[in-house]
Amino acid sequence: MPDPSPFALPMLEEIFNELRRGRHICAADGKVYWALRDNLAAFQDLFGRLGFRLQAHQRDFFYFRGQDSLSPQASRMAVFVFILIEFLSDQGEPVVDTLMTRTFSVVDLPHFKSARYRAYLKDAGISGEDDLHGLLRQLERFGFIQRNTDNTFNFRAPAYRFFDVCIEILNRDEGNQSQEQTP
Amino acid sequence: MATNPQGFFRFATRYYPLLLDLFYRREGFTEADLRGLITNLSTESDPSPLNVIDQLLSYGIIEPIPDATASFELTAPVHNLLAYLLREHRLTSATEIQAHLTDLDELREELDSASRQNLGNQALRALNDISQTTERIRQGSHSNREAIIGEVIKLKSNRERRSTKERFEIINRLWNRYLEPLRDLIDVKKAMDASLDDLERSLMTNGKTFAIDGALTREFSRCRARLLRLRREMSEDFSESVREVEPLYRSLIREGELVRGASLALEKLDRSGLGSLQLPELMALPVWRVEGLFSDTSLESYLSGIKGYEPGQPQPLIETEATAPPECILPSALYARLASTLPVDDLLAWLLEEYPEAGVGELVRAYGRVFLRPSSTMLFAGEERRYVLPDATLVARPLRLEKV
Repeated sequence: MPDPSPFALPMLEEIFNELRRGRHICAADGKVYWALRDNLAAFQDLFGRLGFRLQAHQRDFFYFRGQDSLSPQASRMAVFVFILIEFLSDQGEPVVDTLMTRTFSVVDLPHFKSARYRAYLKDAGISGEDDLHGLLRQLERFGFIQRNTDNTFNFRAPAYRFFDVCIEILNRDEGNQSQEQTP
Repeated sequence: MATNPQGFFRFATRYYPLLLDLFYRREGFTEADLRGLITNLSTESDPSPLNVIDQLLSYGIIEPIPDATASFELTAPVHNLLAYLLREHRLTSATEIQAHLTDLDELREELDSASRQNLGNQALRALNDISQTTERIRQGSHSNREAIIGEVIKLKSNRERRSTKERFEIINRLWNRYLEPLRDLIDVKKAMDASLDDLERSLMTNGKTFAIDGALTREFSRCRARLLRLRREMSEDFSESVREVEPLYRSLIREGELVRGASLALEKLDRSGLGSLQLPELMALPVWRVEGLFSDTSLESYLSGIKGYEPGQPQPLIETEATAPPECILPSALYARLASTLPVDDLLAWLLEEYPEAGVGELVRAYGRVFLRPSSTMLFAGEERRYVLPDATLVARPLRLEKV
């Protein structure tokens, strides 16, 4: 009996199309997620041979890690989330719980309500409500948020990638500081 | 002046809401505040606020704050009593517990000395003090557990809406100031364990010395029981405190790092620009570049249609009749033919006659070659003539050629 084809994977086309566009696939994606999760090793092997790095995050979601061509949109999205993290902490909210469970309304977002936050956003190329809506569309396209209506959204599990980036930035800074202190 | 306990508790019952209010004013209160609070509670039959303030002072419930005028605070015993009743427990540091352990060591030496000299009364006093110190340590430990759990519950519910940083500072202080030193103290083979082991041995050995004294023997036995209870409960209190604090501590550490990371990122953005954060590299979101692919969907679908196509037999070529090749006038042959014919009265008419199959272009090209030939001798006629060809009509003056 001939070996089964390495391409004989469930929902291969849909999964590849989503991942190659930078989308993060999590449990909320239903069938696509389960097809990927149940055949993770085979997908990783196949995509690996084709030059794609399929990552499985410890929070149980999957994505392609880019290598040469990286999306510049990452900066804008990260700044948006950093501001939200700082704001929630200042409000005495449990940051991770709130981010992952609350339904956010665009009108209630703190991003344009403080001059400091507005300046950060301007540096990231976001200067008005239209840009903000554009950014939310990007976040949705990459699978970081789920928009319920035009004005409300929830974060999805892949938002943990922004938390990882925060820790990475902190560790990098502390690493640099300890290097500077070493005689 | 000694306080009458009955009067104290009667007064405390009447003014309990006032005492409660004063208890939670940790920074103290002014005389004006106090008068206001008393007035709010009083009825017509009650004594004046000034009188109530005098009673508060005389029962030792309040006392002036040393560095402020007309300001008061609850006295430490009343504060402690209310804290106990309200389960607002104070934290006992490891240093305080260590001091009690040092006391116990000294009392054990006193007991050993009394035993060596067979001094029953001295042994009894030492045993009483050991019991009290043991209970103080136990109460301190229990109070710590209650205080820590209370603080954890408050931090979890966070009704005061403290920031993550602030909550982490509180829990971090609990952890580093109370739990870690206590862990160090109560760990097996550490200071407390060794001290209590020594005390237990002393109680066992010295108890035998006074075995014939029934009252003293009972006191030894009770003291051993207290010691046993202290060890058991301290260990329980500690484990329970850690069990309550650790998850929140770990979670706030993680959350604190997250918030610090986000704030640091924003600070770097402000100071060094967005590029300094290298966010595209950290996130590594792929960009799909469309290169060498058919972007035209109709073409793509056409090519998809071609896939699997199998060609049939090729169409046979249609045979046609043979056609004569267009006539080409070779210069050498032309010159030779002209040379044998000279003189020629009308060169163009001669060419038309000699090369009937040649096209207009070929005839004109031949005419030009002869006309431009340096060795040619020729003469144009005076009047123009029309030369009718199958696909054109030429108008020219006849050229007489005499030499080529």
